[in-house]
Amino acid sequence: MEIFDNLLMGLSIAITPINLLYLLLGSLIGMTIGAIPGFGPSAGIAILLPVTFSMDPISAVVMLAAIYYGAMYGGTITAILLNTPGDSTTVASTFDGFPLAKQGRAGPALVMQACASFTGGTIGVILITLLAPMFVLVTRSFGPPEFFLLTVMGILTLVALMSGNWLLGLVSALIGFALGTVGVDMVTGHQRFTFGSAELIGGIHFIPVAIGLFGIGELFHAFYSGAHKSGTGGIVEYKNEERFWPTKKDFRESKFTMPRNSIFGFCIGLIPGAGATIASLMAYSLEKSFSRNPKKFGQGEMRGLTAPESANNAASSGAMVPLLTLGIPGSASTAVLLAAFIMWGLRPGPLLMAENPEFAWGLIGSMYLGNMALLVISIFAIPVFVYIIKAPYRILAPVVLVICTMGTFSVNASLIETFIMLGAGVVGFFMKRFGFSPAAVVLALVLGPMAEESLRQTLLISRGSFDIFFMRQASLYIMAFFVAIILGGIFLNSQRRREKLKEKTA
Amino acid sequence: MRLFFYLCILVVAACYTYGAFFDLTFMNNRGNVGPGFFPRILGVAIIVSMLLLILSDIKKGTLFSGTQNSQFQDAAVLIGLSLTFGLVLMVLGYVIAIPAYLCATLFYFNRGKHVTNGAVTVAVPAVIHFLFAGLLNASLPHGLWW
Repeated sequence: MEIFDNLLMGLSIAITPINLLYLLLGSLIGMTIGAIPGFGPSAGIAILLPVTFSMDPISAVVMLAAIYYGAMYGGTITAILLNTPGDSTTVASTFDGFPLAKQGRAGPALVMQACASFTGGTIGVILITLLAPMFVLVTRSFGPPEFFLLTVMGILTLVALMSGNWLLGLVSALIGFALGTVGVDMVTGHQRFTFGSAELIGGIHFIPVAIGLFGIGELFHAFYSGAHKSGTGGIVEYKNEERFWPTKKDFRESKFTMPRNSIFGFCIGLIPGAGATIASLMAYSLEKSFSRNPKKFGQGEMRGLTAPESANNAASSGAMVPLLTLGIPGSASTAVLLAAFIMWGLRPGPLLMAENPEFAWGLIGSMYLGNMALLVISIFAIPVFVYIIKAPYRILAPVVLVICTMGTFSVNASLIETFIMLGAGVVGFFMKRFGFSPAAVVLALVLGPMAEESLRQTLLISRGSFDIFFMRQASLYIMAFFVAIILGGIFLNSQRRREKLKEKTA
Repeated sequence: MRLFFYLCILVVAACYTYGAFFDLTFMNNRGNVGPGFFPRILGVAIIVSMLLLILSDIKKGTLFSGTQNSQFQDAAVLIGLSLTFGLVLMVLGYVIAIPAYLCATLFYFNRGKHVTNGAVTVAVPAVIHFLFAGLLNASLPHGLWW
């Protein structure tokens, strides 16, 4: 019953006129940013974070959370209409989304993806409401050893579950950790890698790095890929005169797909480092394997679209649970959110719900309303987003770069950070070009200082002995859990490689 | 190009590791973990990982891939213009830098569309000024001469 009292309190905070306005604004902005190829929730939150500094923390986080899941909705529009995922979380949506659009069913596909996203988001928020307080009870017994393990294992999970060369992910994560060491050592006060610069004494801020890697790097890579040459007008698969609404058969076929994959996606999202990308890809594979007609998948099967869509939205809710209850972000997007919370003087963790209940429950309450708002917006604003997507990339790109640059400068009025952002953009371009993981860099940049702090506290408690990790029950459970996840990830990757090999030889 | 990028990371990692070993102590005076503990481990780990990566790419034969082509030229022009934008922003401020950057970029990539380019060059700085300086009261770079 206490849960429902807290939820009602949260809803009463979220339903104030100003917060509703920010929620709608954030949803629209998030969808728009998500609809631009390459820009996902991480880039959207990072780019718009400076805009929220002058706002009340609760209003600011309501807006950022709306941008976060708004971008999840928007990213699928380009996946369906252009066969270009808006973000890595919508890769699986291209498998059947684009074939549906080519069959003249772009309208029904877009509506069904909105319904699937709404189902995933709503089930995800309900599960947060029920599970977050339980998580807090468990995590109250956690100490520095457990926090160190969770931060490091979260990064390792991201690396292990990467498809392709895991060494690239590992190097990316190590680079992020190394960037996090720049500044003043918290224990001794010794300056590390500041080169005498007063601006670097505070460390490398994550905002310019995140905007540079995700936003600017993506722009440069899009130009490398030639996205600017044709514009998108000629290749958008959407015509206003086609049938817009799905048929009863579409809803009937997906009635179990959506809730099933929502719960699955939420569970994957709970695991730090796993995130919505893994959830959507796994959901697609599982739905295909459960289907009586697996060969239809990839040819325009509606369940091939609704399964990953429900999973990725639910996973984005799931990723909020470790963020709010442990202070450990589950993905790059929640890493950016975590840094935002800290900037507003909040400390996500086991005590957040007890010490700042209006903040935590206000955020959860806003997510219920946000999902409803996004369902309506995404269905009726589809022609508007199609219009935005039709804008040539060669015009959008420099405008976006200018906005990113001004946004970065406005945070601390620092030109050094602006140059860090531009430099990170160049590095991000090469990282994307050669298969590195910008997400791992940002996650490690945020988690690295936390990991170092908790390790040093651990070694102080244990007087320099690492045996403490094997003497505490909670630490042993965490290590066993993550070893299982990593082994599962290795197994999944080897399965994928075997399937690719089969397809090549067939 | 891939090899060049790998070597850049390796050189930076080597400098980072050198700094960690020679400027920072591994343990402090009380025998606890010092400021160089994490950086030394990270530096060595990056160097080892990069060497393994280079060896792995040599085995696969992909180390010398990613050479320059016409697509890279467009990316290089955009990168060059963007970095120049940063420098002009520092010296002359946003009032001059933003229109100059937009004009140069659109002139190069959106040739022939003079009306559209002109409209964007005028409208975007105005919107940015209104949004940041007017609505959000956020600071914008004014350059060295202001």
